[in-house]
Amino acid sequence: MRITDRVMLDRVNANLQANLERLSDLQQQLSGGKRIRRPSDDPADTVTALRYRSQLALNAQYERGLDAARVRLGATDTALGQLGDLLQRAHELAVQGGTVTVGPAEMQDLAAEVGQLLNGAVTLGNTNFAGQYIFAGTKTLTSPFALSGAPPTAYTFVGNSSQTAVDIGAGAPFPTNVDGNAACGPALSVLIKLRNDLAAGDHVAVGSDVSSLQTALDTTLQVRGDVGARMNRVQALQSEIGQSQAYLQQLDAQTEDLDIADAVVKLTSQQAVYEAALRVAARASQSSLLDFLR
Amino acid sequence: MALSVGLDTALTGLRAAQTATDVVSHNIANANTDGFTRQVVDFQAIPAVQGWGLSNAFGVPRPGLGVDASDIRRLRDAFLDFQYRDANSQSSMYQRMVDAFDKLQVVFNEPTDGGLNAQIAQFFSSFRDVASQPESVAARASVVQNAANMTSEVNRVAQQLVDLRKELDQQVSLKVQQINTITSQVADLNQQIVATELQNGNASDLRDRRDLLVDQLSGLVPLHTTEDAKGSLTIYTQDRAIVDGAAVIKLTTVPDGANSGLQKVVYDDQSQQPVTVGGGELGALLAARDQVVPQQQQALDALAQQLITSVNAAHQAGYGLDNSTGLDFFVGNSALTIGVSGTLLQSPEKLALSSQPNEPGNSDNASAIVGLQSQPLMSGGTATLEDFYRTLVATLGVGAQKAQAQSQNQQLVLQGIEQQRQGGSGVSLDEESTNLIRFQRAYEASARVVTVVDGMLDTLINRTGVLG
Repeated sequence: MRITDRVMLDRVNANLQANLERLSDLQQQLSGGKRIRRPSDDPADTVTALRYRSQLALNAQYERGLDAARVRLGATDTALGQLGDLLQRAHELAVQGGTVTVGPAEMQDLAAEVGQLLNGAVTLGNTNFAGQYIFAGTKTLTSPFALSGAPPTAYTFVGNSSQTAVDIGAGAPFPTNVDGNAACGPALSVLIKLRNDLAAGDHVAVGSDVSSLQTALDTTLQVRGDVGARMNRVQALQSEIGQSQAYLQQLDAQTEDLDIADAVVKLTSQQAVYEAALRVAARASQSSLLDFLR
Repeated sequence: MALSVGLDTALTGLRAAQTATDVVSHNIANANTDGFTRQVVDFQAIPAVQGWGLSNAFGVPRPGLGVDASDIRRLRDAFLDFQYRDANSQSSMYQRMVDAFDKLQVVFNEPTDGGLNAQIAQFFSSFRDVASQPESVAARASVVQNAANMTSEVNRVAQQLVDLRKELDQQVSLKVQQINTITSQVADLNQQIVATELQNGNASDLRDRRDLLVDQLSGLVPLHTTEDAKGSLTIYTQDRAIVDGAAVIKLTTVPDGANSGLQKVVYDDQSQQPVTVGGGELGALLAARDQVVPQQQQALDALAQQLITSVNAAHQAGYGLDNSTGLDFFVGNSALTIGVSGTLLQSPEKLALSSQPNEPGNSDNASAIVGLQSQPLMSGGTATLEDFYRTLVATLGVGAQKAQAQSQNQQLVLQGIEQQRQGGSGVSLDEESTNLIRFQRAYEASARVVTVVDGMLDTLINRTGVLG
């Protein structure tokens, strides 16, 4: 092929341009730390990366949901614990009131104290945590428990037994509440009866209330046990999600991020190639026949 | 035979060498002129005059009468021109396509944390977040706000696609103007070349200019050319001739009612026939404007419409904190118009998170909306909303990648052809320097012949017959 000066210079120019483009591409990749900057860099891996990003965001959300569940179950656990203490105290008072040697005045004192405990139990049943009545089912804006009659003869429950739950991805939603009426109702009923029996000075009835109190206490403990188990499950799930997050992050980094060592090696070699090309360009067409003619 | 004939012969040599030197000088001067083709002088020996009983008169053979610089020629290969123009149409088209795809990729801005992929995920996540405290108006407000962020991102992308299409449309008009400018110039040159060559003039440089213009034109539209005996060039598009001798059929753009009022390229004569453009920058602009961008727009619209339909249906079935029900979540009917209902923006308590009235802690309807995230709502029940969007991004990436590869390939092809063309037509300074020496020597030798003949004449005139 016949080579002209223009052909040579054009070739040198085109090659320099191509070299510089590759160099700038590598520099851009390195400075951004990302292998994929636009979908066209790798369409298939772009989709994979987008999927990882979505899953990471979703998992972060599950973690938040589990946090909310843990806090709410914690509040439930505390309330049930206090209710248990309260029933314990009522149990002691009932045992005392069941003894025939206790006089009418003392029975009235005991009745007054059980009345206080009853009010305390209603307050616990109406526990409001972060704007939610936690024992009201899904009617979380209405205080669920109230006493009727003076002195109280019954309690009313205006909540429901519906479940509140958070989404934790796979499987059924994770329940964050307990059936309020089932958890607190028996305690309230037995406390009302005990207070009235004490006020009436009926030792026999008070004696029979002792076993009812025990049943109510058992119910409370049982519900509390369930809450505790769920809290453990939350912890296990959180650690599971944490592990899967770490793994996903690693996968995402492998897909999206640049292999720095590899890129640096490529950059160095590209720099060498570019410098060589520059050196050649400096020499190209330096001499011509004209130099030798006189 | 007269001695003076020798002088005349030497004179033709001097003239030929001078002409050749002039051509070398012209070549060297234009070594860096775009489109310049190196020129050479054709020499022809002038034969001896024969006949009239002159041949071999007195038994002396008759020599030729010197040299004639008969023609100055361009060294150009018409086939390489044809190849170059074909490759140039392709290369320019792909280059433009790459530009369009680059702009599209900037519009979608993926993969980033702010792109639509993240926003859609965030939209559904906010419904999960609110599920743990559906009675909180603040949490509800954040759901509505997240949704508004997502819709404004959808709006932004949709608007930028519309803008991109408009920009491409403007470029179409601009390219049509460029084509008309070039074809007018070619028609002018046609006239000049025919006139010059009719008088046996040298039109090489006019031809170079015409070839350069046709090269440029081939970057705008695919074309082919024919040249008639008089040297006039006819340029054809895929449909018909746009330059024929001195006549030009201009192109123009008219708003196309059937294509959202965008410009349609037609022949600017009575026919108003649409121009078929399968390549070149114009072809790429039309393809990007009428196929690539609308494809993305349709996909985005489909996504927005499905989002509106599904979320609204689910939302209508639920109850707000104030027991309001049957309300739409989204308003609008396309990617450009989708937005969060103004009622919900003003009163987040109306957000229907509950499946039952009077149950502020019930978030079953929020779960129903969350469920839409994993349902195959798109592509005839085969893809989720997010899958569909990711496929859209992937399609864009693949298209861009393909255009880049094709553009690079065609550029290499073009470079190869251009080098071949330059190899034949380009000016080599070494070669011209050699020629310069050659013609200088020829000139010197011819001059020497004049001196010798002069000496012979001197002998004949001044010395002959003089004794001693």
